[in-house]
Amino acid sequence: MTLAFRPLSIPSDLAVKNLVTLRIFNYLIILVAGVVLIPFYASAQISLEWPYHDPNVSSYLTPDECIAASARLRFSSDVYLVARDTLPAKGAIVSSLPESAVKAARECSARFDPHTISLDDYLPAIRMFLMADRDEDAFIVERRRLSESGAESDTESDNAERNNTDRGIFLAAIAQTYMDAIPVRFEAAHRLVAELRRPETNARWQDRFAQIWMLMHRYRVSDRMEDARIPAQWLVALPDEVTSEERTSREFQSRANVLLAIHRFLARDQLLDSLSESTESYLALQQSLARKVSHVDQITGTEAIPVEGDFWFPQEPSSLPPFRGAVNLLIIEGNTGWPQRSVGAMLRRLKSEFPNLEIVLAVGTKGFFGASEPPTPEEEAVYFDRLFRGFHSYPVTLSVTRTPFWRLPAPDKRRINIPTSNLTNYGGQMLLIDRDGLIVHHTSVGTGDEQWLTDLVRVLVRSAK
Amino acid sequence: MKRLGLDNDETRLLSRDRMTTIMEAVRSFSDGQGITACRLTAWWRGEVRWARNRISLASERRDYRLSLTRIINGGRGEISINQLDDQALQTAIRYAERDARLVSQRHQPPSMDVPVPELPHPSTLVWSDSTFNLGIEQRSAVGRSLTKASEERSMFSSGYLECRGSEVMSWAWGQDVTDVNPDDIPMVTTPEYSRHTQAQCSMTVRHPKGSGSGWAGVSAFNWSSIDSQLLADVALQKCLDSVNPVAIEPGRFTVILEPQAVAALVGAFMGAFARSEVENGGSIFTLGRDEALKIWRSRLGMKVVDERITIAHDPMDPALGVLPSPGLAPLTFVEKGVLVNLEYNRTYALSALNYNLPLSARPGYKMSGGNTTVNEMISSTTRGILVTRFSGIDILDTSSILMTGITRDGLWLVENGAVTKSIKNMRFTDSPVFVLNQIEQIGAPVPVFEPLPFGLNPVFVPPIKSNDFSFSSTFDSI
Repeated sequence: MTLAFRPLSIPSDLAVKNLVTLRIFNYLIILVAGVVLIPFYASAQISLEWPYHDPNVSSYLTPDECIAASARLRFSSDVYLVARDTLPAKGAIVSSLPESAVKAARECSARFDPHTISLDDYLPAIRMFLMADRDEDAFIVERRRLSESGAESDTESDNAERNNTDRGIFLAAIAQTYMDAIPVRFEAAHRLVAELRRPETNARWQDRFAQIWMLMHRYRVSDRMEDARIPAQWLVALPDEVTSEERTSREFQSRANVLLAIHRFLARDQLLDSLSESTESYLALQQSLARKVSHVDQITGTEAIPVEGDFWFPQEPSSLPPFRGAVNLLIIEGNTGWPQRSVGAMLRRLKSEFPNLEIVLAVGTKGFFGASEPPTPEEEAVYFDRLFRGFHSYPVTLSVTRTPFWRLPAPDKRRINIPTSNLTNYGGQMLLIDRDGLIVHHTSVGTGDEQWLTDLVRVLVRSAK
Repeated sequence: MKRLGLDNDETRLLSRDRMTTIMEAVRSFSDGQGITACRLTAWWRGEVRWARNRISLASERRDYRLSLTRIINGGRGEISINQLDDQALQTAIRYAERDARLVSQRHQPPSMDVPVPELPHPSTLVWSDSTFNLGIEQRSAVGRSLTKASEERSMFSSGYLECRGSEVMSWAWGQDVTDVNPDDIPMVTTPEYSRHTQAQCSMTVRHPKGSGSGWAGVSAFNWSSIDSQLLADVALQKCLDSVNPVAIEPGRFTVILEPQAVAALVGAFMGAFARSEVENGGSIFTLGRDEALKIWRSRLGMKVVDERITIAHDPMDPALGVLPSPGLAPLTFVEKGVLVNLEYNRTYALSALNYNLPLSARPGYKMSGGNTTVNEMISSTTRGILVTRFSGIDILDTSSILMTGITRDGLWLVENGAVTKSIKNMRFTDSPVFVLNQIEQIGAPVPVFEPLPFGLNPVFVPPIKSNDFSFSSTFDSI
């Protein structure tokens, strides 16, 4: 079969006219189609716009869906999308929700009556009402939930006890919801936590501890330090409110550090005053606080064992640290690796404020350094000096100890380090030592309250003058 | 625009001389400060593919890649290009130098600046002119010849034949003296050049009604060592012998594993030789936790498989044909059934052993064997199964290398010393460690088909007769 192609030719005048008419008609069709279709096209684009601002909440049937709608708006707001500052968002938890999020929660929650809403999902209901700024309605749901678990409605003692335990759980859960709300409902949370710690509530001590601690934490991060003292006092009273069996349990003892820190928080001024009087009186007060929480501290108050070193930078000291007659801060490397960079920043701040503070960093050789050829201990010590005092500008006297080691027999041949005396005595610890060589304070390297440490150093340095 | 030795665009690869010329051009264009490191690679690939007895693709592909690194005052700038004229080289080196200077504005920790030693560079002969010179017409002719017998028997043959060539040159020079690293030693290395070829041929012959399938394949660096016609004959014969399979009850069987099936099992076994993983616990070669030392002990020095098994790797072995790589050294993993080495990288070597060199191996390996033929294994079997190969393998548990997969392209029942019938494929669930501990007979190691997307992966394994291999279900596909 032969295909017939029409040859291209120059059209006649008539044909040109027809073509022009046809073109104009085509343009008109395109124009009309454009006018009709472009809005659809544009609206399709708009419907995909993100973030969205005005959700249709009419189809949302549960508190959970309302919370989700409001939360989406919250995270679509500029507060979360635009980084306005590199500083931490201090006080963010007390800031309010964006207006769009509140509006969505309000519209969505309009269909729910706090007197009739199902109590099966009482926490989402309370959360939804809080998001919608309907705190009175959240309170109604809270009371309904608690009244249904109230001991007064039961006559049999076992039921009463069980209901009391349930009531404790409900109290803790609702208090947590108030504390997680934005902004934090401090009054409501405080009221519920106070109720939670009443003996007749019969709540588990773990729930009490968690909620009281959270309330204190929320007050602290909101800069309401005076308010924070109340839950702090509740916490330090907790050991007297639990049974002796509970008090001596491993679970309770694991919180002894926290309780001791809270004791210190409450007795901060008292402790600093005692330290300015003498290290002995400070240690006595410290020990009395530790006894209250059954905390065993075998380091504080003892005379510091000298830090050893095979290589010293910038030069070998005439005597081993801690240096008598000066306030010392010793940082001893642990098993987990080198001190964090944040420690260096803290050390620089301390040295800047207290030039006479003697800071000593003790590390051990490992037989390798970065990607270099396996260095000798001497080379490794120089690398440590370059790293800590050179690159990181740690204002320290650096001690590098030659770590003894042995190897697993062939074919394994792994290096097994033998702990140095520094590691055995104080591995991973940061120790504050007074001018007489007594350990005043110690924490794990990279942890602890820098402000507290600074306060202690300030008092020790002043009293040393 | 000057084309540096690339005036002949028909060239499949560059050459040592051309690569040296390009490197010298890079050297002349760099501004003289700091360290310059270059790595120039060129690759070529020619293939022919066929399906249903007809050639479907005949192709030739090639490319170059120049990776440039400039280290200036502790800062590092890198770029990679595949255009090798003067202007492209100058632009690339200016780009790398700009990046290096931008980065060097940051204060580099000294751990980045300590001198890294140059690792030994083994050389190896893995070049075959017969592979490199196999032209597109010759490959197509081979492809057509391989389908001829299948077509005559009204079977469908599908497969491919692929030849590859590659060359690489590395060179570094210069000195980078910085504030934190005032003692930098001038780096002057000689250009490291290596090249390799690889050839592989794989085909499946299937019955038009889908009632039987046979497969054969092999890879090697030297095309002349591959008997492609034999592969075609084996695939066809397996197809004819496997038609109309019958189902048998799954369970534990004595199996005769052809080398390709052994390679599939041992391949997963080879993946367990990483020392860092063994010493993190959870590997088949982890012995247990040493609570006193707070470390995981390995099974190094302990018998892990049958004493007839030795698995080793030698980068200098032309048959293994492995590309040279810094720090690569001969390495025996299992010697007479005993785990004697685990591989590790340089970071592990430095931190755990305070040793400068890694003990690493490419995937290629050789496994020892015996002298029993597959026919002798069949004749000595009362009841067992002959397996051509496995497919779709998944590891279910890394701590025991328990794996599952299916048989493919030919599975036969062996009864009273003879192959009696073709049977339907089955799913297996077993560990290569159990298989290698249940060996009854073992044959001579032969090369198998182990392709990799890039590079070489030559593997030599023997056929094995092993007891109590676990088949867990039947499978309908052929």
